[in-house]
Amino acid sequence: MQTDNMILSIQKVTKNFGAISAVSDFSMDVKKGEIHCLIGPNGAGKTTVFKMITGVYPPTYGKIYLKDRDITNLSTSKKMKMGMSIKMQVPGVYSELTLRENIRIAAQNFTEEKMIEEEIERLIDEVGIRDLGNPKVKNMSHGQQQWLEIAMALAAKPELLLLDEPAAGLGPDETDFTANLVLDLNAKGMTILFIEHDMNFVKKIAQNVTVMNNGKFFAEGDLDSILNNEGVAEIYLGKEAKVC
Amino acid sequence: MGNRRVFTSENILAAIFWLACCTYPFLHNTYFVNNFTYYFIMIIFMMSLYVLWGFTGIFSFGQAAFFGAGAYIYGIVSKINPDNSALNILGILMAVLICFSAAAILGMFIYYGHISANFIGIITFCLSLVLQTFMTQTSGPEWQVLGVPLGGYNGLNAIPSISIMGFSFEKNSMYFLCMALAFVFYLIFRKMQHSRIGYMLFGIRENAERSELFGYNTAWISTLVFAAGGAIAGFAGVLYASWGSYVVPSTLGTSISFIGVIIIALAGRYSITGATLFTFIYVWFTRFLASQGSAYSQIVQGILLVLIMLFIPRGIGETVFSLGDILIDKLIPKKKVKKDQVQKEVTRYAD
Repeated sequence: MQTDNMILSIQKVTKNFGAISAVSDFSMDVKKGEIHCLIGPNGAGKTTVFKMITGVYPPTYGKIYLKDRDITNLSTSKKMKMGMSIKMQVPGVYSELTLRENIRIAAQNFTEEKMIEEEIERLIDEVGIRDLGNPKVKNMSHGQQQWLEIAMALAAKPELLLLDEPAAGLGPDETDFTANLVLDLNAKGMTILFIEHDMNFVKKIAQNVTVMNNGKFFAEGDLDSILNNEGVAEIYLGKEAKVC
Repeated sequence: MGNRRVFTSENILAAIFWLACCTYPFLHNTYFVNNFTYYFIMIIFMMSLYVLWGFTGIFSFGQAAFFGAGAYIYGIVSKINPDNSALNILGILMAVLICFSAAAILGMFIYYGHISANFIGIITFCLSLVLQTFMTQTSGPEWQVLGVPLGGYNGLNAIPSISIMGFSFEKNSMYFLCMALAFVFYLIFRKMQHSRIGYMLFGIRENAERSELFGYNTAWISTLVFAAGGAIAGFAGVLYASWGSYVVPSTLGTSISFIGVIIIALAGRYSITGATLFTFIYVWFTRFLASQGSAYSQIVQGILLVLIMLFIPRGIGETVFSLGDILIDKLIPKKKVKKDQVQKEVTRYAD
């Protein structure tokens, strides 16, 4: 089933919560080096798919492969040491600690102690948040927390970076900053899979798009084909509308 | 992180406190020294909860269960033959090991069973209550362990003091032993605050799900911490039994657990120094009020506790140290340093 250029392959996964099926028979592949977007209306099951990939929810059925290895039943902590990392929908930061302490917690599991300070500085520069100083995270804006969390996610030196709504709650300038950041990371060879509702953000960075609806696969293709797909426009905005 | 200042109010107060403790037995009689020994035992007991709640965010309402169990186990083993020093040592080791194992088993059920954090307090509270109730009804002659009667409501009496190679720790020597142990635990936990382990535990305290996504096996780590907390509480129980020569069912009970929770809640969960100093002050203060014989002593305590909770929500320790540092900054002029050094420090310590 696997090919050399696939980094992630999700095959017929289903997630049931009791009698409710949040995701049903869903499949998608992510190629190495691409920026792949997962879109769909609210409640489509996108975040549930992310949680199955990371192991927060074990799939009820189906298989998930990372770099040709079956990771379906691995624990979250093991999966995160296999070259994958995530920025969550709600910023998953440690609000009572400082910016550098946050990055340290993320980095120390992947970096030798004697190199930890250098690694923290490298991550700060990579994301471009040096100007923020070292505030307590609870005093940072939502956008700044999003960037911090991306820096923390990068601490795992991931080959595959999952971003759950990286532009949510950001202003236009902050959205541009985030888009450029994602493009920079991709230019360095990192594969990005992200969920996003902001179609302007999607148009700026996405190369391929998978659409979900009601927990199921709906469509897949390059950005243009999805933007021109009438079915996608319909599930997003109703009949007579277009996504763009 | 990185370079830290030496002359902080926390360091200064800690140094004064430990130096004063070293000199105390030379200035006071045995009665007072013996009382102070108990304070150090309570500091070690408090640390067993601090490692759970302060470091890792695990709220245990039943640390007294391990405290009392440690006291009972040491009491039983050492009473088999009070003159046998080896049994004394065995009693200490068994107390710590059994408390560690029991806490590890309970922790595994809690953390691998994905039990909500809210229920951990209830489970540990019940453990404490059940053990206390059980030990209370062990007064009959049939209730013996290794030939030592458990004594029911009266508990175990005439428990031998800790003895190593024939040297029995009593009075001043017991004071110095407990002080040294409390100091060692204090140093370990202070060191941990800025260590790899400390940050790992802080991460779990602040957001366990996120830490799991950074590759930490939070269930395993939390279980180990829970077990370590149980072992430290058990060890404090050993010291308590040796110090007082007795242990009763209420030692396992909720009132001692409450003391630990109250102390850390009031002192603050973010400073081991604050919690250590406040334990000392709190235990002294409650004993002082009780010694006044006033029926209102507990009401006074209650009012003070509520006032602290309302007006100093982050705890006395952190608040006092913050104010102290502001005072130190005003009193001691800072050295002139190069501009780039200042920028580096600002970046490190902003906020």
